Amino acid sequence: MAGEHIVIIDDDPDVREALTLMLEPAGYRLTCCSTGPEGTDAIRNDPPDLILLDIMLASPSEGFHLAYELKKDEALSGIPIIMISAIGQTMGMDYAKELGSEYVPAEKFLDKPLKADVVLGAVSEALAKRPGGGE
Amino acid sequence: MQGVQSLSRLLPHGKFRARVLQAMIRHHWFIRMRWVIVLATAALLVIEWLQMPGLRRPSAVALAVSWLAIINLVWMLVGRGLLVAGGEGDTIAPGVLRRVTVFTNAQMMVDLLFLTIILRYTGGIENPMAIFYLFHVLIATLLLTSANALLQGFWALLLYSVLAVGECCGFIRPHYPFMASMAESKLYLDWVYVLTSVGVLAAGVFGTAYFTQQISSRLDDQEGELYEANNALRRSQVAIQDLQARRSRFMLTAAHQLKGPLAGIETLAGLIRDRVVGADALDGVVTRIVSRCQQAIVQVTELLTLARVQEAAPLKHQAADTPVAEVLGKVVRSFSELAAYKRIDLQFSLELGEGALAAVDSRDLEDCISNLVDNAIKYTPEGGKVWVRASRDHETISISVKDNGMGIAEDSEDDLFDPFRRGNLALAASIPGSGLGLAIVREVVEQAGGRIEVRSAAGEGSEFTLVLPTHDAPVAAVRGTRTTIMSSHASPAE
Repeated sequence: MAGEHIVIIDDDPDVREALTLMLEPAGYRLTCCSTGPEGTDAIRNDPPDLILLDIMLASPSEGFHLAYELKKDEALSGIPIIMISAIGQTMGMDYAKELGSEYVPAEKFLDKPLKADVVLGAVSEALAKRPGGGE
Repeated sequence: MQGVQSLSRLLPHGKFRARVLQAMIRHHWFIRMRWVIVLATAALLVIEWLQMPGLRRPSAVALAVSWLAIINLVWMLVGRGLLVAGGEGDTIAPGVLRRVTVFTNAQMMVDLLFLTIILRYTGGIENPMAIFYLFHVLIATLLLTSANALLQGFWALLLYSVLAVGECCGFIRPHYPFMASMAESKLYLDWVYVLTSVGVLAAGVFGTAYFTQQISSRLDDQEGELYEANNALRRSQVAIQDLQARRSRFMLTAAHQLKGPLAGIETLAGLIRDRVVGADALDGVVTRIVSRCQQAIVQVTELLTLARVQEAAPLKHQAADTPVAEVLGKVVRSFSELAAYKRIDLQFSLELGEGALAAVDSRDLEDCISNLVDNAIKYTPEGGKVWVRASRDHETISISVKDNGMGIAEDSEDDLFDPFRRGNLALAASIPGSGLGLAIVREVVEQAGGRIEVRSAAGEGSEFTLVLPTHDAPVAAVRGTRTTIMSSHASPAE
């Protein structure tokens, strides 16, 4: 599993730092981005094996829009996306029900605060499920 | 042009009246009523024929009723054509209204003609059915306009007068009595009776038109007021819905922004608890946790400040006489240490003259300037410059905070002042901030009746200028001002 490239897009530097602390020791190669445009550039320049994407970036739905754009792009649509948000459960939004649909174009959804074992489990599961992955 | 104006006077005014008229045409009300009259008249003629052998109406009466039925069929066809052209929209086009008005007038005029023909063969002015002339005037006044009602009234009077005078003078003959018993009355030959009958009808026609018009014009006024009130209510409803949507969005974002630091703290603390963080990284993570707590406190403090300045209290600003120089001096002094720490040259200059007082609450102004100076220092790299300046121009005081920092990206300018909105350049540089500072500035400046001008260029710096009314400026001078972004491309450092 080691060596897979993961792009993290989150405007919260602490979340980026925490994800780095969780994932780097496991051998993943990480690219951290703080904005949607920066993340898009990073994904296009070096297509990753997985994207960890915050829903609320500069605007409340920028993460969703970015995911829609990626899923529309044939070259990038196969990259699994794990979405992260701090408000999903609070707002009663059950994203898990819509996962993979056109409403939530992602493979997995994680609520903040993040736990290391949950994140590592979700990442390895998403990587295994992707075409050419472990399954 | 005058012709068009006088023509418009003939058209019904008011949405309600025009819609009722159109609905009556659509539902063939006049045509249905005419069928009732045709059938009722035919039935009366049959009853008379069966029950009153002594009274024999001339065949012209039955013929007139038959013609009325035939013409009613024509009206039906014309009415259908008008409905196709009229459509069913909310507003009635002037062309459709004109056609409907002409159609209604034409029907009434033909009806009055037939009424006169029937009177002619059923007793002339001795027939009390002349009262039916008034119905038409009444309907014309209620549904159309006074001008239309007068037109119908004069037409009715003309027809009745020709009949009355014609029979009296012997031009129209023979005379057919209304009832068999009246065959010998010869009232139609009595000039006094003739003139009295015409006079009574004239009084009835014009009296009906006048009183109905008076009442209906008052109803029109009421309708206008109701229409305006309804419109105002709808506008309020839309504004309330918009406000609720904005409040809901605000709550959503506020919740996210407040939960963000807490979630960050819990995530980082969890890493320590689960021993994911090694001893070498421990200090860094703990520092991050402390810093995150401080950010959360700043966030809550600014949220409370925004809530305070959002309290609608325009009089608070109008009555204020804040010494601008004093407030600016206090703010600049409070930031001098931070600026020195970042090696930023913080310059301060005033061109206000003696005792420049602004009509803005002192504490709110201090919050505004503090936010702008804080942003300027935050988004300016070490060794940069920040200028705080103030000048006076008759009824306004301009306060500008300028820096030669990172500036505002073009894609961030539209919602620059929205709560929790942070520019992409600021996010990319990982500079912490609540995103509430500029929302507080806009709220205060707009409530004080001032305006904000922003000049910025990415990579070159920004300049925020608050234009505020002076203490002695008339209220009218500060009304209607708005927050505007002047240009995002002109370099403020020029």
